Amino acid sequence: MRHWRSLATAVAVASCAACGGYTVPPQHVTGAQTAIAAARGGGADADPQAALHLKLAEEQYSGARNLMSKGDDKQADLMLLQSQADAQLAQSLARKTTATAETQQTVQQIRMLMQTSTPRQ
Amino acid sequence: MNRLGRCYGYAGITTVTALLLLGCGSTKVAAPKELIDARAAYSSAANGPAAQYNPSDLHVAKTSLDRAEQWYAQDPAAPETRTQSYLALRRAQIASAQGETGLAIAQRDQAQRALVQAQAQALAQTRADLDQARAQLAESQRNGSAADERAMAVLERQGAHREARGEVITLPGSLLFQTGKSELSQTARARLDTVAVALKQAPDKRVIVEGYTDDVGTDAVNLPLSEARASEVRSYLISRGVPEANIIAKGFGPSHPIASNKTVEGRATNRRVEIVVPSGAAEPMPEDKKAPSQKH
Repeated sequence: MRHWRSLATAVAVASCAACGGYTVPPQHVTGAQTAIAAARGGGADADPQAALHLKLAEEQYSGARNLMSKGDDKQADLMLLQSQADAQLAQSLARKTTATAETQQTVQQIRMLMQTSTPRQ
Repeated sequence: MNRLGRCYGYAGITTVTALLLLGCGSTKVAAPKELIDARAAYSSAANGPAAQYNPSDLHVAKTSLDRAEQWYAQDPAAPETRTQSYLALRRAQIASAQGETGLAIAQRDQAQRALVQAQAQALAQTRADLDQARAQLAESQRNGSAADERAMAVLERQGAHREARGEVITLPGSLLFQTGKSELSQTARARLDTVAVALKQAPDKRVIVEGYTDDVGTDAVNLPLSEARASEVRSYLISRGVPEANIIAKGFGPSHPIASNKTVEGRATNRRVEIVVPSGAAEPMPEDKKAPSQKH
């Protein structure tokens, strides 16, 4: 009987440790939030590929908040890390699109300048 | 013997059990899809522009991939293994995107330098063209002025006088035409030849040939007659080389007399053709040939 009581106590302690022993570091929450805001501010909405990853980031962030409300901080933390990574990727893709567009625009300007300039003898 | 047999039997069972356990332990859990993708993404990034333009993000991606591999080696089925693989995949993709951004920026900077150079060349060429055009204009103006002066001198020798509306040569009708006719006489042609020579020296000058009659007869006769005479003079001047586009003819009938129509001499004076060379360069000729509302 004493053995059963000890085992139950051990299980309860282990369960409590699993549930409440881990807390999401606040910087992981703010890190995901900041990355999402930066991606949106960087024009991720305007680029299809970047917008896709921004959406993933937002969904994962939302999922993480949901898990946190249910006490599953461990899983929530992993999801927050993924959310932040997706948001950072969205921002990088938006930046790449902008830089590529600027390059193409400059090249186009050169072409137009060359076309309008009459070759001199 | 019996005990020995049991010992062998236990040993055999133990060995088989151990082998089975070893067999179970060596079964490799398949790598998560995220890790497989991360490996491929890192390989792609490392062989792309990231190596040159963004080695720091590539290093972060490598560190992340190594961490995922460690998790996979320690606990392939753990949620952390999948998450670390996911992060490694994203880090590799970020490194790749950043590398391509670096390449695009380098190309953009190069293109902008080329654009500045091309713009400078175009500007220099435009300035050179402008200078050349200015020089040509000045030369043309000098030549034009000289030609105008020569032409005006010749016209004045032909009896032209200067009025507010320009140089005016008055040709008496009696010299040019028979009464009531509009065909040029031989004397008129000789006279107009010298006028044409003068006008050709200033090809950019506008010329107006104006026909007038005395007041004998009706306007219905005099107006067409004045127009016909002016047109005849115009046609002759054109035939002698005066640019057609620069010369028009107008008929005014008996209006604007310059002498009294009450005397024979006055009426003879009023029957005339005036060749007017307005001051300034030629302007587009008006389509209509209406008489001006005010004249002289």
